[in-house]
Amino acid sequence: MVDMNTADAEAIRLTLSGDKDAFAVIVARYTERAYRMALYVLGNEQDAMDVSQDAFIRAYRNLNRFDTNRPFFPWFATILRNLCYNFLRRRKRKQAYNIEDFQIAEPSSPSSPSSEPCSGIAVETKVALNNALSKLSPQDREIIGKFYFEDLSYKKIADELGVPIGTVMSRLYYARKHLKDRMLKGER
Amino acid sequence: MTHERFKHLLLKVVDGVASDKERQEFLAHIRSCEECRCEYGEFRNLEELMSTIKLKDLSEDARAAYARSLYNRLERGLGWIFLSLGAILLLGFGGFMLIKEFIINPAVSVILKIGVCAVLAGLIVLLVSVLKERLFVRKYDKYSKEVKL
Repeated sequence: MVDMNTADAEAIRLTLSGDKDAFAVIVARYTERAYRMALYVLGNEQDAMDVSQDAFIRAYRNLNRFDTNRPFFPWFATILRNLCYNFLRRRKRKQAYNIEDFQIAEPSSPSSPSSEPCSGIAVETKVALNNALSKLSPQDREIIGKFYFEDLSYKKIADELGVPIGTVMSRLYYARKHLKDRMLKGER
Repeated sequence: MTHERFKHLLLKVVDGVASDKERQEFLAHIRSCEECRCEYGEFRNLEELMSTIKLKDLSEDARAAYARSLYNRLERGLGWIFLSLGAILLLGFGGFMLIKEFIINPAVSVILKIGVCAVLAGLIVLLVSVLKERLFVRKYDKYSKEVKL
């Protein structure tokens, strides 16, 4: 069985040799992840579509600079991250952070959230989460999204961000602390 | 226990990746530290909440629309490159011919030359003004900055 990195490298080599359809394999494989990443950083579906598409266009135009011995997605994610941050810096009008695509599952048991004596997060909603996320920095939103919405391990997050695992744990600690504080205490 | 050590263990315990020894060390600490116990409880509650929240997958239709839109934009990008190259060539050639056949041609009257130059200057000023306005009102400029790879 061909692993994903090999399959990506092959698709990229074909693209560079003039087979434009080969890039469709890369797009199909990473559309969902690219869109999600842009979505939880930007907080708006249409902007996430536009910016993640920009990232694919940039990647396509810079494919000759990609080292095919390395995995594709961390390289692509760097392009996407820079575009998202540039977009947020340049966005002149204030845009509400509102992700409609959040799904909230019913809890499997009605127990714990309120069982802790110091609890404040009990019956939080999509609105509260959007509100809390909107007040985090884009860097905090990114690491929160990778951890919770993409279910990535510390190691995978470290690979994608190009930082040591210890740094990921430290950033995750503070990002989760900020999220928790905002969920608990509302707007500050 | 230092604060750094606590936050390191807190994440490992909450995420279920702490060793037995680390877990015991952590639990011993929170038994005697109310502040840390409280923070641990809040982190656990956040985990329980976040474990119930997912992002919806893109539907097949949305994925297809995304791919279509992406390829249209890629094609359009190529179109703009060709159009720009062609326009530069044509404008350069047109300017050269204008000077050669019209401006320095003694058979053409000075009044006509001034009139044509004024019309061209007016068109250039208007074009630059419209372009400036268009760029200014854009909510962001997608392609003006190179991505740092």
